[in-house]
Amino acid sequence: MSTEKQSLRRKLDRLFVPLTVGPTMLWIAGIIVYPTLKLLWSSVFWTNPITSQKEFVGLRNFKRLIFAEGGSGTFLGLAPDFVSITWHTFVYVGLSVSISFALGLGIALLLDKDLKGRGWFRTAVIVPWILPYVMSGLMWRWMFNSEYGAINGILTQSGLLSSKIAFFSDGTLSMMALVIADIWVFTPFIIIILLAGLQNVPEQLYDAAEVDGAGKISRFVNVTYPFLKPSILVALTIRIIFDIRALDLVWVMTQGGPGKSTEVWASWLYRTAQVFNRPGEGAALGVVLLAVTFMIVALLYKVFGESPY
Amino acid sequence: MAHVELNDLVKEFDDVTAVDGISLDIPDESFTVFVGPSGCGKTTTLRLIAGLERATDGEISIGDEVVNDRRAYERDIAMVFQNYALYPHKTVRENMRFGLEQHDTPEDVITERVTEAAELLQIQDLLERKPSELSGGQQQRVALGRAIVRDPAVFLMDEPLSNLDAKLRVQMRAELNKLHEELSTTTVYVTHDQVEAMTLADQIAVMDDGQIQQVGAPTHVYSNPRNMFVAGFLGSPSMNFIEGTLERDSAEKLQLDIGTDTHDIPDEFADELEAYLDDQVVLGIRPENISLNQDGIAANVHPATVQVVEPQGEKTVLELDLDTGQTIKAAVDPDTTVQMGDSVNLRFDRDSLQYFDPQTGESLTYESKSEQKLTA
Repeated sequence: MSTEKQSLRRKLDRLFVPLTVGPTMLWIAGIIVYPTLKLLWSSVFWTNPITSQKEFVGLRNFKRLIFAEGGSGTFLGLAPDFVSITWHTFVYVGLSVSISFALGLGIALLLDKDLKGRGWFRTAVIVPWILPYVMSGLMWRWMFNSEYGAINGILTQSGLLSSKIAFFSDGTLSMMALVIADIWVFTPFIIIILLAGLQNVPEQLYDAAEVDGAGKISRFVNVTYPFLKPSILVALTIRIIFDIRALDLVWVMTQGGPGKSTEVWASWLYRTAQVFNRPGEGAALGVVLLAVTFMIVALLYKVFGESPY
Repeated sequence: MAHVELNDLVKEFDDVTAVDGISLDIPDESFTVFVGPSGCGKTTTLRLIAGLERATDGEISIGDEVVNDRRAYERDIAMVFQNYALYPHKTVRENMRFGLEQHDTPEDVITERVTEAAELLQIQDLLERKPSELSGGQQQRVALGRAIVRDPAVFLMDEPLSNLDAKLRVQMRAELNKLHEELSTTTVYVTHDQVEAMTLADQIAVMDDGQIQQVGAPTHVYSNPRNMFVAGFLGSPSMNFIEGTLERDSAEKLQLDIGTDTHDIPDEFADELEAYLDDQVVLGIRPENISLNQDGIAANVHPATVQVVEPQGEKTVLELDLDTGQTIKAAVDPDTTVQMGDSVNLRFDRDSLQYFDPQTGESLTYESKSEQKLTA
């Protein structure tokens, strides 16, 4: 081979890695790194709503959102809105994730058995998840409607209730409606992920456990659960991330109301940034949301991150 | 310790009959091997004994008790699985303890049994490791250990050596033999490997199509197969089958004309074969019972052409075309000088011949050979 050809080949060799990995790196930088940096950057500015001029304010946006003005007479000096909205988010995410997880696990275990009509049922359970969230939200808003909603209809016509309930006029009932809708939408996702995990459990291990004399609970704890852990990790991580940033259902069903009784972090962020036109404070909320999400995911990895092998 | 008895055992899965009316007595302290090709029902039979499958019909007794309605863990058995089935997230020690813990065994007994089994299997140094940190052979030992600590009445082993490489398999085979010698626990073993079956078993049960084709001591089953399936399944290379016509020679003696030459029928089989006069009979001959005729004998000699020469170290396997066109195999002395294309004359060892009915595949000489053996 001539020296010219050799040097060309060496040049191409050197370029191989940047040429193949480069586009992906650029893409990741474009969709993850840039928006994150932009979010951090925006969170320390205040934008004049009239002139759109930006002013560096340091951590003032965070302080305004998180701490009460004057800082006295409230829980740990925190802003009442921050406390109540965080509590709503905790209730919303906590209840819907835990209930849909328990339901999803139960259904997945059932569907993993050799039951008649299992194939049909497996397809049917996915339906709520493939519907657009906004459509599901609209459907449930109609279901819980105080005048012509199906739920009120069933409850009154069956004689369980004497008069109709105005679900969306009461904070607790609105939150309950949101949680129910959320469970309906996301349980199928849990089922699919956990069912995939259950298929990974080697059948011989169940046989070994049967011979060893392990009961149903012991079999679940000692055989199923260790193999299910990676799937539980994926299911819970995605589920919690989805719920923390869930805007669609909340906005379509309650818009955070009545009052601020169902306002959660995602709707608060949207309202602050888009409705009240305070992008700096919205970004600050986004940063807090990001930090909290990271912490939860880290915790989940700690608990469920161990491979069965 | 206990003997195991199977009575008319049947297992059906939807339309498939996996086990079709098996009856077998597995004596106490014996090492019984179920051997047969894939899908013959041997593993299902083992799973039925284990209680991992419910019998459609028939009876299974362990000791003197019928155990059909007992769960696996109530049958006093321990099982070693083909893929070891070790709990991957548990250490070796935890794997071995698990079964005992489920039976609320006192802690000191658990510790003692695990230590003893670990010493017996020489896995003391591996107790704190996880299965993924062990080699295949070590995992196999742990699987055995898990069975041993239970101190069961019966060991059930489902192709436990099939995932090991050839060398390790031979080594583990010897160790299993030693272990059985030491523990004397009744063992039921399933394999598709006939060498494993022959070397391990006191009693071998050859299965095909959900039925036991023949039961007996390995050497007996090998030298006196009940039918063509058993004859062809045991032995490598497998037995040659040559069809011929039974006729009388000028001295009124029975002989089989297999096309290349006639073959004298030994007198002791004359009575059984008489009925097949002028009819087809299948001659069965093992490759190692065929020799190259170098003595210039003229009678009962079968001309053939060498097609393939396979030196295998301790023997050389020849693939030969008889003049009738049929291909047979012969295992001859490794020093043989024959080459591909050579014309040779073959002699069949008269004492090792088998005769079968071509329609039913049943051995025509099984009964008299068994009797001969008993008299001897």
